[in-house]
Amino acid sequence: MFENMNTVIECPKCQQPLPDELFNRSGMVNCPSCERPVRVLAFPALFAKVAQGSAGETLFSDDEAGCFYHPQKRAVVHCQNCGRFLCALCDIELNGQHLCTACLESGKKKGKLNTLENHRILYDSIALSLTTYPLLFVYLSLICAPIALFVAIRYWKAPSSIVRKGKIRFILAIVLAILELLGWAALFFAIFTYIPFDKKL
Amino acid sequence: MTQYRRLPGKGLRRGGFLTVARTWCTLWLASDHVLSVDTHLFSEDYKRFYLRDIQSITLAKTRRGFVWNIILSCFIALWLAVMFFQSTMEGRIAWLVVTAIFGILLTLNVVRGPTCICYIVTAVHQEALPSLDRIKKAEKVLRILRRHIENAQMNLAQTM
Repeated sequence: MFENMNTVIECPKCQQPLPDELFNRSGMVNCPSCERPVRVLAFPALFAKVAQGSAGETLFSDDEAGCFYHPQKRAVVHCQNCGRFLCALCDIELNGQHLCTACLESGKKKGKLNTLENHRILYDSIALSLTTYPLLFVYLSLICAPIALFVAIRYWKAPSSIVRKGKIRFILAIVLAILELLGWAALFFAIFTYIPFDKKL
Repeated sequence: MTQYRRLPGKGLRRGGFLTVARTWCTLWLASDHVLSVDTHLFSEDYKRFYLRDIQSITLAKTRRGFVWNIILSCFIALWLAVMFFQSTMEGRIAWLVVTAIFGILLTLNVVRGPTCICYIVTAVHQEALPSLDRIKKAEKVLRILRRHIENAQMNLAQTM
């Protein structure tokens, strides 16, 4: 029943293996174990043979290029970032590029490889929140508006969300922060200019 | 730069009974992968599922929507009873408003349809997709994904 599959597909509810007769049915069918209606979409990758990884071929003559990391192994490709020769064991294929482990690691650290990025801090959301939430407690905006302005300017070039492009949040944050600061400036100006000193006390 | 297309659905990742910071999950489709985005307050976490690696997508109906229907119906019945015991017109109107709010919530829950849990399975892991928490929504997304995954795995299907 499960011999052709690379992975055993389990019922999402009871975690019991689902037989392949239930796969790719048009509607929902009941799980044989928990009787819950389930639907399984199985794709060719589930049944395809998994390719074996290569360990790299050993060098037999001096006129062949060896791997930078394993000098005894035959080089099959060069790293497209640093140019080092790599054996089949060291070659990492990423989005059609061949890279060595060192370049992969440094690329991930420097954020050059977008496809390996799995976390981003949303500075634009921080800046916008610093201008909007303090409006609930008016006096907080006096402190938060300059901070929002600083965050927006300091992190203007920092990458935002992978899926939501654009600087609209930063722009909104800057506009709101400036308006809030102008409001406070106008208020202080009014207090110190138009209200007589004896009434201030 | 990878271009992403938003797939329908937005759901909460349930971390426990009481979660202070909410994590919203959405799905985005690129040319060669599906991106699952977990949005926290000021950060995002990403998981990529390459179309050529997806082995299966499983879906199971749950009773969560049904339980919510019962809970909301009980509240509506309770608020209606409280409303009828009010002696003043103002009191009745106030309780009618409360009942109407619960009525709207119940209607929304019924319209959104039955609930489900959905998993995406690859050779190395199985990941829950909290954005697909309603069967209607999940079926819609599965129709889109199925076409793209089958196209990406066309060469695998031919070699089998």
